[in-house]
Amino acid sequence: MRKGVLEYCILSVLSHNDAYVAEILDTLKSAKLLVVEGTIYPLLTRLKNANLLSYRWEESTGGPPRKYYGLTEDGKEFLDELSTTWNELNYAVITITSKKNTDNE
Amino acid sequence: MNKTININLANVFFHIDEDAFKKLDSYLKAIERYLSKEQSKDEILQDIEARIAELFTESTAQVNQVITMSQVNAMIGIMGEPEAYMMEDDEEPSSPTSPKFKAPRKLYRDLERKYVGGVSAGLNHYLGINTLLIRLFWVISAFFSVGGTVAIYVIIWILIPAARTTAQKLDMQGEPVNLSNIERKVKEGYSKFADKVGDIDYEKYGQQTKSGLTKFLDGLGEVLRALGVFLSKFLGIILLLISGPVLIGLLIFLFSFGTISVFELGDFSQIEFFVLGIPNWIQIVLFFLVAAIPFFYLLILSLKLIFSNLKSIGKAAHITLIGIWVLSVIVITTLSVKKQLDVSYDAEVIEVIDLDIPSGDTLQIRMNPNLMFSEILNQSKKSKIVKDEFDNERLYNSNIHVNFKSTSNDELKLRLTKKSYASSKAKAKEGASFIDYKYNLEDNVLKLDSYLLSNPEPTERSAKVEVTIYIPENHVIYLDENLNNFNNRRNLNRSKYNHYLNYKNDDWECLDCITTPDTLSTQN
Repeated sequence: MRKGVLEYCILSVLSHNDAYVAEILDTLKSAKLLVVEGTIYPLLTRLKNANLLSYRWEESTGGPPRKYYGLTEDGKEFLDELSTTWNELNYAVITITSKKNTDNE
Repeated sequence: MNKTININLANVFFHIDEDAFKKLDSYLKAIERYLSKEQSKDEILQDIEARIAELFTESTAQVNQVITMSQVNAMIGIMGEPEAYMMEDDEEPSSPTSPKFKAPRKLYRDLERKYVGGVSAGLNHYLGINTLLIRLFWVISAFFSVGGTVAIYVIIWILIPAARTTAQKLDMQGEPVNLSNIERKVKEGYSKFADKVGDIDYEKYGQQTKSGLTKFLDGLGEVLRALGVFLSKFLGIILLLISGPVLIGLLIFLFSFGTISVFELGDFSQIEFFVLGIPNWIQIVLFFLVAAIPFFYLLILSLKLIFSNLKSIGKAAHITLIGIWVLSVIVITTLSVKKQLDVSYDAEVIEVIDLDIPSGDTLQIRMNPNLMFSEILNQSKKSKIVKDEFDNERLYNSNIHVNFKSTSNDELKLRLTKKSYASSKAKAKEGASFIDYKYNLEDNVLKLDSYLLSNPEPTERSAKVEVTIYIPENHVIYLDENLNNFNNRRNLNRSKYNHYLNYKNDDWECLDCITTPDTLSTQN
């Protein structure tokens, strides 16, 4: 479940523009979705293997070269699907929980 | 002060403290273990290394600053403990101890259940054999090998690290290394490899990072690796079975040589293989060292092959051992060469004496030992200092050789050759003139001294006396059995002693022997 959410978030971050791992991490960390970084690496590779992400190398100042990830066409499609699913799910959850709240009152 | 190590992380160069390096190394290895199921494991690891390199670069202010333990700890704080990398599907309950993540078991000493060094308890984890049985084995074998296996125990104790960290304790209880597991690994590798062969043209694989061929090679590699592990363990066990008993044997040799006669084979102190002219015990220790050190290394090698996580015995120990070995070899070589030089020149003093015995009378010949000097009647090159009846120190040895020769002459003759070997002609001559050898002819009995005496100084000379008796045909001779050890003619049958004999054409003829069943059977 959490893994799926993480994947959705990663794809969303990349939908605006390409980013490298540290940037993705910053976004996820600031949203407090991710506490430690380690989890993201297997996820990214899996997404890439599923042909949803692609990457290119870019030189960085001082550090090692960086992998910039971006969405592929498949990735964009998949993200659209995910967004729809998510919205439906979100709606369902909100409807159910708010009903509960009104029931309780 | 701290030792630093140079490492390359994602093609970036870092200096890192030794302890920090160890932590980083075990961290990366733990991650690798957690990701072992992942298909793109190597790629993920590369990404992780690149990120670690980035974090180190950020936290390092100056160019040549050394990465310390605190930086590694900070990095792990950011990246998360190895468990965080686990990519299990949420439904599956997962724990680091689930069998999928079990690493091959490693041999550690178990300090929690130790009696002496925790070796037996560690072996119990490793081999799955009852600890009590292993301990019994050590105790019983120690009795049988006169403490030899105690030395092996100590070597293992020194070489095998103790399980201190949690990771080590887990490793200690990991997947047992036994034949069925090795077999399973070979099979797993093989089935992966076979799958890859079947799937080569499967479209799905074509899209993935690793091509079908790479996977095929990976599978093959796994099969070969598992086979390699099996072979190296097998070789290790064989080497252990060779070096262990040899070392134990050498230790027994060290402690028993010259003091007890093993298996009643004889008195070892009489053996003259390697006489270097130094005290016996130094010589034994030297030979022990020369033989034992290579076998000690063989033992270490075999243990390394069997248990992959062995400690090194340390540079100082290596240098000391190799130094001692080289030194012992040099000492032995030098002493042997010197010994050889000592006897490179020889000189002789010869006397010929007529033995005045009527031709009809029997000549009895016997050796004449002196109990004051030695109680053993034996031919030996070994010299020792003795005191004669005037309390003078003399050099004693029993290097006496008795020969017989036929002669057409009518008279019995005795030829006495006093021979001396030394490092120069002059010394040899002097040595030969010092040799004091006596014989005694009385009532037709020739008594030959079983020993010679000479000057106690210098000791490095060696001396020898050859007695040759020329016997006319048809002269009856009676040989006492105590000549046996001094007679050079080995073909002289023991049964011919203490009989009346004739000597013809360099062969003895018995005059009063009863034909024994032995000779009868050979005639049949």
